[in-house]
Amino acid sequence: MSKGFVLPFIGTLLGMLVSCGKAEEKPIEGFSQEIIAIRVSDTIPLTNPDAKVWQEAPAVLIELKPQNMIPPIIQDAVIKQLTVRAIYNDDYFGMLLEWEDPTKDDIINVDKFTDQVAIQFPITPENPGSFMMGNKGAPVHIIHWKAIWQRDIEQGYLDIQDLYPNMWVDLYYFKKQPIYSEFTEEGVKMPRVEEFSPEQNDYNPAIKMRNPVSLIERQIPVEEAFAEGFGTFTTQLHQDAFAWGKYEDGRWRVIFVRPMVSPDSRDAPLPAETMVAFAVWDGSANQVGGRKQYTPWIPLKLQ
Amino acid sequence: MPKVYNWHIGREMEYPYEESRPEKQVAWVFDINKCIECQTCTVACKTTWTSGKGQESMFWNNVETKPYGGYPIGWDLSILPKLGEQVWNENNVYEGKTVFESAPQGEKVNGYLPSDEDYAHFNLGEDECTEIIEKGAFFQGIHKAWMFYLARICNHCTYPACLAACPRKAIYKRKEDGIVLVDQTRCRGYRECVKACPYKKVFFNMVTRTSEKCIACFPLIERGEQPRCVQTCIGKIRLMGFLSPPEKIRRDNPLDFLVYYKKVALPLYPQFGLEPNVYYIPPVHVPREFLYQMFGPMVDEAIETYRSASEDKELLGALLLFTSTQKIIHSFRVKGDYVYGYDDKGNEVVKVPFTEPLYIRPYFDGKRNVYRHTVT
Ligand code: SF4
Ligand code: SF4
Repeated sequence: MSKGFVLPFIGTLLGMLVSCGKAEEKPIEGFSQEIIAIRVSDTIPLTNPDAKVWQEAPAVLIELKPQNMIPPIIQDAVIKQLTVRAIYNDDYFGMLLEWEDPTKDDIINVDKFTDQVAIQFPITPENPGSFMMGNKGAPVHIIHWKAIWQRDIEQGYLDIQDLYPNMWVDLYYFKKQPIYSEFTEEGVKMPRVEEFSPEQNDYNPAIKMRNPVSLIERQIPVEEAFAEGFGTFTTQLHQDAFAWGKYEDGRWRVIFVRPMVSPDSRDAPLPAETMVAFAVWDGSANQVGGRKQYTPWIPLKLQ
Repeated sequence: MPKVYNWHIGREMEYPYEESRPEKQVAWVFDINKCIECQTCTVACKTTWTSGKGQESMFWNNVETKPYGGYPIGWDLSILPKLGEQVWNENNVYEGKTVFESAPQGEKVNGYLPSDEDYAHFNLGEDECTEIIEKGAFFQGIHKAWMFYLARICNHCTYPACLAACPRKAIYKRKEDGIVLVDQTRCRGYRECVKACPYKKVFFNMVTRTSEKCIACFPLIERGEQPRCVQTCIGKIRLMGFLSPPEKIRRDNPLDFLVYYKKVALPLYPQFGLEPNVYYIPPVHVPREFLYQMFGPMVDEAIETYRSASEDKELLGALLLFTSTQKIIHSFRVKGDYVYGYDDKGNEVVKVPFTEPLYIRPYFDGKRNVYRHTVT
């Protein structure tokens, strides 16, 4: 078999895999008012949105609304709908979220924002409270994925020289030893923030104080949080969830996976009937924080 | 929205939180007439606080040349038109809208987010004056064109727009001294504060992904010392101290004296509505229209008072305290030909003569058998 033959063959095979694996839009009349999670016998895929098992769940289309109630707001939704699939097995619960976004925004700068998506469960499903991050006495469990965090993991923590490749700083000045930039045979070598010792992060208190948005050694692109109303978003001590996104052809597909039963009291339970809510942010529309598209509570049934 | 009283604009105004003045308010007076734009303050601040990653183009203290300069570029030119007409009535009450009152629906503050390029040219417009000076022109008593240096830090406002806009309440104003701080563990980098502060004195650090701002050198203030930008000022244009709450104003507190009694120093863009706490002695040679826009309707009186300082020993004494000591001066007294500054316990921390003593030495030093280069 000549090489010339093998390549087109593999190409066709890949094409077949992609075409049958891609989550196909089933024709849906309007927006769905509930999500049915399907029990599967397979493992829940962590990073592969093309895995066959996702096909076992119906794709439901959910309407996204502009958060225009509590300042700061957005006037109009730039992302108007979200496609959701939900599956579970004995151990894990998984969701595949898909939405159209013509730009992949996975960096942060003074005037650049990242794409993000979050799912929210009520910690007390019998009294879910406000869909806007819960309220006192009705807390919520939020799992939040950001494109920048995934980029940090895939390509290393986004540093100033990634944003401005031609920049030069003579030295970063520190008490004990300054850190110099160097000219090397490969070009300019600027120190990276990962190389700084804790003492050298004196100038960066957020890193030193381990602010959850400033984690240079981030392992997962997702953050689990607890909230009891607007402005109370608090990172959980135990991080039990995972999420992974894939951007292709103007479309984000993000998988969320969490344990069915969690020992963490700040994680929401998953009874046969509960609620779920979503929020989506478009970085290039300068969306961040409360400037987002959201859904109210949607019934979630585990079948 | 609650109503609060803002004495800079002479009226109540809307603010998202109730009025809550600190026990004493950190404040500065900058004498614009004396600034030489050496940027010593800028460098002192930079080496102390912002020499880390993501702070490469961040200047908590900057000195810009007015009218054309600005950091970030065009910060005031960008916000001023958003307020609409800015009129003061004959009783010096501001009749226009503040950044809070003019906020669009769904926003707490009327602001804008600068682009990264706006921060990339720290001193654009440096030394540019208003007109082209002809070749061969020389000073004949009246300046043919004008410009001046505007030194800027965070104003630790009484009604901070940064704090008002933060949906996470990650920004707080200390009750004990009115210093405004961003909690670096709570901030999630939404940049609502960066957008809201009309003075653009909260900055986004793209490496920590949080907002950072001037902390008024609080570790120094807590041990009774003035901030680095004040201590190092070459032109001795700066004085830091505390303004007393309105009902406890003291004439012997140099800040109260200059701001409340003499009214020689004025807030920057009072019409924004933040009650900023850096007070400027306006530059005397700049066209008044420009100064009214920048410092409000009290400019004429302030300049007149400033010009008469040579006949007012108490005022001159207070002005001599600028950058005269590292220590914070809580009270001052003029005695004879000296002005004395005291700390919060009444201990003397500085003594400044009204006239520097002059010693003239002989041109020839007989002992060493050399001629002296300087004799004074
Ligand atoms: S150190 Fe003083 S004189 Fe020099 S630029 Fe700063 S404020 Fe002006
Ligand atoms: S000057 Fe800006 S950053 Fe400083 S307190 Fe006022 S609003 Fe906040």
